[in-house]
Amino acid sequence: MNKDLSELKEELKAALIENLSLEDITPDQIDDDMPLFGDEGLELDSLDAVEIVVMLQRNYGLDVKELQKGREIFQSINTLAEYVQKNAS
Amino acid sequence: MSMKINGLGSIFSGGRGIEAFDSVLRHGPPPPAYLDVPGFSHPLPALRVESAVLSDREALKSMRRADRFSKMTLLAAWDAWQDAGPPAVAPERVAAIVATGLGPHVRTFKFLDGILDFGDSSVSPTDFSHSVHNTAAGYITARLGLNGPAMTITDFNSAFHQALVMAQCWLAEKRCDLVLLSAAEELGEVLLHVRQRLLHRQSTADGEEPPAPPGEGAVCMALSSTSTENDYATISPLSLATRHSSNLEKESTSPADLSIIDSNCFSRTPERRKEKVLSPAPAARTRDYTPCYGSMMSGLAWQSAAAALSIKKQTLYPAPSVTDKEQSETEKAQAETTELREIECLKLSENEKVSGALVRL
Repeated sequence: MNKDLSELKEELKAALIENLSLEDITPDQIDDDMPLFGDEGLELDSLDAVEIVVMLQRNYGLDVKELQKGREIFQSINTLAEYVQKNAS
Repeated sequence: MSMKINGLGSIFSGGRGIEAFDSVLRHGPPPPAYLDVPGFSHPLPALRVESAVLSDREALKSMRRADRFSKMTLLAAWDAWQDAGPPAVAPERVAAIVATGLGPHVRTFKFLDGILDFGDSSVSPTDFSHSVHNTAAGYITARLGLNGPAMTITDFNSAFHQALVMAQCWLAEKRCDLVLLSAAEELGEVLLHVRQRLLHRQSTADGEEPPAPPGEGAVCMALSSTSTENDYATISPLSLATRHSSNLEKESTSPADLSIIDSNCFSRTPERRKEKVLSPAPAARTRDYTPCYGSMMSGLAWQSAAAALSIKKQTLYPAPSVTDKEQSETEKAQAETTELREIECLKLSENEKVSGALVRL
């Protein structure tokens, strides 16, 4: 994918807010290295993980099927953006 | 068996809370919003709930995935629950019923569009789970910690009437001690599109004036067989009749003090049917408060809430003006204090079906 990484990160933040209905959160409140899951950071849950998988399929044509791979990709906006830039056509 | 209305909650274009409802009944409806609908060259009028009215951090806790339909329904039920006490009833003895014409159809069509656009392997799991009609009832029980029976009745014409019958049965059978009976509708492109097409077709047939703009919102009644100090009135379903109102079996033989008529959401000819329904036993006074909150499939619930409020306050609200012209305060009809002991609420639907509720002191 040719898109600039910082531009892609902003795009992903906006997509997360919209697709996960993250009320009262703005893109600038999501740090690039903030944990997406767990007790810190965005505190997303398992249903959010499925929504992110769907969002990657719809927006970038990417299919994340392996659980372990998903854990690595979904750590933060940084890891998510790097995966999308590397694998999306 | 008559049920006591222990509490009321409402949210609509005029605001949230029974006081907002009372205010609109007294002073008239807010101006409609004009919404763009695909397929129509001009925006369509609608009485829409402002998004700001739907923000309540405490009541809507853990509901970020909920849509407008569920949020409106929850807020009305939350307020009815608070208005009723909250009642000292065991959680497993409280039931929740939601009556609706189209349910969360905006979410349902979003889910279906997702399948068409991206295939069935890429549909949103949240859209899927929230496209189920009973989701709003589920949110009510979860948020209020209730464990009694919960169900949703969906019907174009008589959802609220059927829900009233169901509440009456459950209370009579002692399946529960209190029922949170909600009615909810959400505005959406599909509803507006269908409604406008039907109205356009009828317009060429009879040329009568259009009914009130469509509305959205939720109203909830906390119903029980137990009297409380806060009671508004009692309510019972009127027998469902078809074809003509002469079949309408009323529990009392004397004419009601007031008849409240609900205009059908998809009909342009309420006046003609009003006359037909009322002609066998014309009541002294009639009202149609539909313009106050908008035309809705479950409008009978709103008329019943207006009746309950009228009886509690012993107030006859004025007939809302349907003119587009701005009226001065002196031109507007005023609410008047009067004795009201019994109000019949009738919903007139297509193919001459009538459903109703009897609200008494």
